[in-house]
Amino acid sequence: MNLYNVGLSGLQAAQARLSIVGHNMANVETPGYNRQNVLVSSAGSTASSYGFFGRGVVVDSVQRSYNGFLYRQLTKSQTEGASLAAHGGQLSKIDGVLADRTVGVAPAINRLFDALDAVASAPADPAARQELIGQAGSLVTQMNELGKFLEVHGEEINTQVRNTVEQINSYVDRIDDLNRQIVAAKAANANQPPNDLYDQREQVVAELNQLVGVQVTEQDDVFNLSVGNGQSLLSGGVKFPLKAVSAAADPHKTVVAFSAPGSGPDGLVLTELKDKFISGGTLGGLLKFRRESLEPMQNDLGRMAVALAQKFNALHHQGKVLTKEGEPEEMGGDFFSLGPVKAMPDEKNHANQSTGEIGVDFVDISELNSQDYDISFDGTQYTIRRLPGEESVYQGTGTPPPVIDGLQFNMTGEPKAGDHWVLQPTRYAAKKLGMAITDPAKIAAADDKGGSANGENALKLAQLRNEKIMGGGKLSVNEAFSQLVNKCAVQTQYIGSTALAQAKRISLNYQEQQRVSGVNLDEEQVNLDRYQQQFRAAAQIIEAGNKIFDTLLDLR
Amino acid sequence: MRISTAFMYHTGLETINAQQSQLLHTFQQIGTGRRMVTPSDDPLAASRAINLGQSEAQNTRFSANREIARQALNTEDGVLDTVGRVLQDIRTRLIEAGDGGYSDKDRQALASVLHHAYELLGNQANSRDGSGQFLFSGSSGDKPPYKADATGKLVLDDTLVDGDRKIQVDMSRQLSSGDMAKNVFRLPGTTTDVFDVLHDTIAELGKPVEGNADATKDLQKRLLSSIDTLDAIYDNVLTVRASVGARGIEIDGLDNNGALRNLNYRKELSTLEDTNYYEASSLLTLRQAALEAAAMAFRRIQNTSLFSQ
Repeated sequence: MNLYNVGLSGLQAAQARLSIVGHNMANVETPGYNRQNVLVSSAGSTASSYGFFGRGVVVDSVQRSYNGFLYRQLTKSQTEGASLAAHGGQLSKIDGVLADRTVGVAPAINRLFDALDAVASAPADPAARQELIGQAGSLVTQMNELGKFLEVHGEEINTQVRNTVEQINSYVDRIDDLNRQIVAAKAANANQPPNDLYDQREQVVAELNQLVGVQVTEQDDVFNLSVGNGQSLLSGGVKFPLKAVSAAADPHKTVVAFSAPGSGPDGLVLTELKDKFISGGTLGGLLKFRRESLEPMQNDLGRMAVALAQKFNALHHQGKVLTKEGEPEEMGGDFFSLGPVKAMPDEKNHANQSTGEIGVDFVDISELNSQDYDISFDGTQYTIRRLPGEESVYQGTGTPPPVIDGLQFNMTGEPKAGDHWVLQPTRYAAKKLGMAITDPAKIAAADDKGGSANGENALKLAQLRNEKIMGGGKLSVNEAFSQLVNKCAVQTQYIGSTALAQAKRISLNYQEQQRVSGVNLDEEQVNLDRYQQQFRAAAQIIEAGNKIFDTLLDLR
Repeated sequence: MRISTAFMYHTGLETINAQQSQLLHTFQQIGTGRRMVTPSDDPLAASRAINLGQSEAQNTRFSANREIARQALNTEDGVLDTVGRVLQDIRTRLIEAGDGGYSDKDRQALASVLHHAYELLGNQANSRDGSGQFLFSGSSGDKPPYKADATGKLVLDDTLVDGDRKIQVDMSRQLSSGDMAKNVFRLPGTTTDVFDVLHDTIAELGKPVEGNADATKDLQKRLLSSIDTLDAIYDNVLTVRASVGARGIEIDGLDNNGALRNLNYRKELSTLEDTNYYEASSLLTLRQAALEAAAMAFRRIQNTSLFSQ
């Protein structure tokens, strides 16, 4: 029996515990830290004829208070939260721009029609005509500005996608590095867990999840990562970095490409990953914003511009311009200009040496929707699909196809099998809208009978203010704009309230995770007292051993 | 249940943040006077306000249109008043001319007076509005309705384009703000023109009939026939003038409707868009109190830590 050894084991256990209490206290605010505790057990006993005598206490291991389920639940809710925050943050910028109905597009529409009414009431008044040219120009400017604002917003998203993809790759590097450190630590000390490395790696994975939702599979203490619908980022110590590239079908748009083993440089080949497969995190939120909010909004605004310009021009053509005595009479020309709309050929078409081109005419404005179209050619037949739903609306030789959604497709040139185009009929129309006339006399205020006091055609034009020319005869131009504002506001509100609910969920999951893994300073303070006491008690045992020894020596 | 120290700070901070952002929102509502700081505060109201804003703008524009129509009609009314008086005057003279006691010389003097009246009437028929457009030329506002031929007779220009100068005076009402010369100075449905008849009559008056009983009788017969035609045209002018007056009354009625509608639009827009200051300021007080309470609660809980004993 060795009192010193028993005392020493107690001292060591108390010291270990105090050191871990200190470690816990120091890491109270460390993100991703899981509180640790010391596992001890009785050191066993030595048999004697008098019975078994205990040998004290032994420290078995240092363990972290960790629950994988709670960690994953928290991380999952955080990746969704980050996605909502990114989506909502972008939306609220647009919501803010549309906030004041007394500035911008809506009042410009009103003033255009007010000016038209004034011309209709006094068709020969040069001031009224000049005012109409001015107000139409100001509506054009407002539409251009808003169109441009949305387009710049899209470019900003491109930049953010590029930056986020770089960050994702650097996070993958760090996880790969931590994988290696953990394997090395385990190799050096097979039976003890490297708790702090585990914490660090899980924290980095959680941070990566703030950027994009990733799936983690663990194999022999190594994390493998994948993204999208199973595209590998890190597998068996090999990294497959993501890359931000211009979409082959739409060079305006930066998309994410994943790499996989292949014949390219570094033995990797890049493939575009469809936006809809990427979810979670900032990246998922940005792409969702672009797909579900920004692009539909650009198309809606463009549709307004197309509808107004086309309908206005068609009526304007039916009227007569103001001519002086002796000048030949003249019918009205275009009032607004829009520029031609063409489908964008996929970059592979060019490599294919194809000369196939697809243009489009707006033939029925009321049927025009806010969708895009994907057109492919297989050597004999064209297939037209609506985007983003990808529902097929036409299959045939394209000579020419029937009118689809108010659009007449015109196929020209020599297409090659495998050709591919994307048509965005209204995407940039708001930005491209312009004035076709600047001379007030060229306003066709009169109907086909002519005359300087004839304002019949201006009256008809003025009635476009309330005419339901869009959405299958359900929307006037102004209503189309108010619907756009409403859509954006509803989305902002919805994403905002979903984000709030998600924040609550994150908070609850955080609470649950912290219940198990978080450091409570009061608890540690109590433990500090407790283990100091254990230390003092163990010291007393050694002191007792000393005294016994001294007593024995004093017997002499 | 264990609560981690980090979570306690996290919750305290979250609560205060949430209270603060609500307080800011109320503050913005008061500061800007707008109930909706952004459309997402009330998406439906935001889009309704845009549509109502258009209705309000259009209503205001219709009121301006009515003012233009009213001015045109007032001008026409003034002209028609003069036309009526001149026609009455001419009628009196023609009756005088039929007097058996008048000499050729007397009739020639009368013819000269009537010639002035003829010119005056012609000036009225070729009146212009404020922007230089001829009142009675329909769509061809830059062409005078009457032109003098070689004999000095005013002849209606038959190349004038028909048009009644409609003005949108209300959502579903286009009102004619002008009448064409052929509908004012001619017998309805015929080509019998006041200037034609008068010119011939004045010419007749210049011819000597003294001592010739048959010629005198013949002249008197013609004069009577001219007076009949003039009476019918005078009646027509009165009818047109009555129609001008009726249109003026319609405009007044629409003005009243428009003013009422404007009031309603303003009221509705205000309900949708404007901050209710009583509501907002009491909310501000409430949210301020809530924020202070949250901050105080957090501080109290901090004070219960073992480290602060």
